[in-house]
Amino acid sequence: MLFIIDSNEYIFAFGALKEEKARTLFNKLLDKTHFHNIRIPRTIFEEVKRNLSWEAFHEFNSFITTISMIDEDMVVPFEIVFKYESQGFKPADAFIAAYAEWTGADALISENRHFLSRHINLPFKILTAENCLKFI
Amino acid sequence: MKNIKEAKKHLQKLRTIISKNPSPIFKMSKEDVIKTLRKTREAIWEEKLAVHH
Repeated sequence: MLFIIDSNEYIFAFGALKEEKARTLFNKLLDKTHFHNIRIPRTIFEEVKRNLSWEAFHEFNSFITTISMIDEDMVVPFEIVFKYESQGFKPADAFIAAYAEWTGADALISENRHFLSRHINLPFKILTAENCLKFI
Repeated sequence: MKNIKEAKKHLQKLRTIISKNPSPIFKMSKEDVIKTLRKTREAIWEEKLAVHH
C-alpha cells in the first residue's frame, strides 16, 4: 500500500509517548517495508522542518531520504487541486488531497479533522494513525 | 532504494534528539499541534502564492 502521511503524524511519531499510535504506525511501516511505501510532498516536508530544531531536522532529512523521496509540489496538476478546492477543501489542504490522488495513494494518514470530515467519495482513504494500523 | 536499517537508526536518533531537547511543538497538546501545523501550512501556502503572483 502507498501512504501519504500528514505533518501532524510525523510530529506525533517523533515526539513523546502521548501519541503512541503514530509512533507504532511508523515502526510498523518500517517493519513491513516490502508491502508499504511512503511518499512525501515538499509542502509536508517543509511543515515538519519548520517545527524541528536544526539538529532534529538534519536527522529527519536523513530518515526521509532513506525511505522515500521528496516530490516537488509543482508536479501535481493544478486541475486536480482545483477539483478539491471546489469540494470545499482549503487551498493548501486541496493540494495535499490532490497530491494523494496524483500519486495513486491508498490512504492519507492525518489527525486533521478538516481532512477526516471529508472522506466520502475520494479516490483514497483518509485515516487516523489508529485506523491505519488496522489495515497494515 | 530504501535502506530500512539506516532509516530505523535515523528514526531512533531523531526521537532521542527530540526527547533531550524538544522544540516547542513537542510540548503542546494534540489539538495545539494540529492547530500549529495548520498555521504553518497556511504560511507556506501564502509564501508559495506570493512567489507565483
